[in-house]
Amino acid sequence: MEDFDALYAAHFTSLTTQLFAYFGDRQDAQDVVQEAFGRAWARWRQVSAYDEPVAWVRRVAWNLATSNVRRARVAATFRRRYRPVHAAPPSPDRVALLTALRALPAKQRQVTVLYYLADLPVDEIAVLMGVSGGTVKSWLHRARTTLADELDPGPPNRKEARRG
Amino acid sequence: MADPVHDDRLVEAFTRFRSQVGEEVRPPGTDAVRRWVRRRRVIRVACAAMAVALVGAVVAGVTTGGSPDMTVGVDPTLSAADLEELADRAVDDLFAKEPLTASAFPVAVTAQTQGEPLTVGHGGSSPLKFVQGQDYDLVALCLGRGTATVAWEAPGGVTGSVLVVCDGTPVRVRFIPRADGPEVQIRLTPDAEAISRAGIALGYIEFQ
Repeated sequence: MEDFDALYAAHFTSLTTQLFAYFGDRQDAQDVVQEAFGRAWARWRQVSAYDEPVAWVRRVAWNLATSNVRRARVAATFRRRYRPVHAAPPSPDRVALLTALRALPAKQRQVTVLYYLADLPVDEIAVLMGVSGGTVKSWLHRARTTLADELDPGPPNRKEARRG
Repeated sequence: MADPVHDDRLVEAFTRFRSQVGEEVRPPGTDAVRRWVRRRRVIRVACAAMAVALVGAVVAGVTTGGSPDMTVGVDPTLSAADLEELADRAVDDLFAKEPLTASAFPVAVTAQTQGEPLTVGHGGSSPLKFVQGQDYDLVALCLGRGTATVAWEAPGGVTGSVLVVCDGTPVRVRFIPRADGPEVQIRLTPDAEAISRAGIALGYIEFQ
């Protein structure tokens, strides 16, 4: 039986990082991951018996993140919570990546995060998202193309030229 | 599928992102997780206790021959199942309309108290503590007919009440305990119209 504290210590940061990339907001990501671990602790006897308890926590966290209710809560929380803060600005790299991710549709963004940040193989992503492996590959392919477009520091008129 | 994108650049970008963000994340810790779970459990216990009390109230009404329809000349009363569904909807609405934090959890209740006030406390042996001086919001949302008065008493003798109209509008009221304590007593008093015709969701928000 896996130790809850060890599971938390080993995976909280990586799960938060993934959901930060998805939300674009670290506090929301942290809230979701904390709640997912709370739900795991509430039924720890059952969850700890699984082959991979972290897979259960990850699934719950993503379900929370992608639910309509959660989105509404996040929006409302943001409106109430917003305060100007004085902190070191994020690196240009991070801003560029988050901006590029925001350009993706939600499913493509989720696939991308699970593939590049959670290091999950395509078949596991397919199971987690309840779609076929082919669909995951297709979303991943489209996401890569869009991300390359957004991140590519090529000639400024390249996108316009491509659209034309 | 041929991939036109040079994947290494993306791998590198995400690796940098992971490294930078990983250094900034400050996990709240497993103690906070356990506190959150304890609160949920305690409130569920309170909910179960209230359900028992409601059953008692209904039985009492039957044995004394009381009928809500005879005392209120409005819509017919709802069945127990319909009232439960209404309360569940109130919970959903409360989640959708209020920024409930991970440490908050709404409670579905039904206004089936035959006009009698009902006291709900956390009770039990839970180590749950409301913290002195910390801000909490009590939140309530009622669906159905009529109104209900929600009164509370927080640790340290902080009391208050608010009228909730059963039209789906959420109500928030702030309370700040004057002492640490394991429970907040909530007292529901539905009006005659709400009896057997309304579902209420209650919860609270903790400000840290």
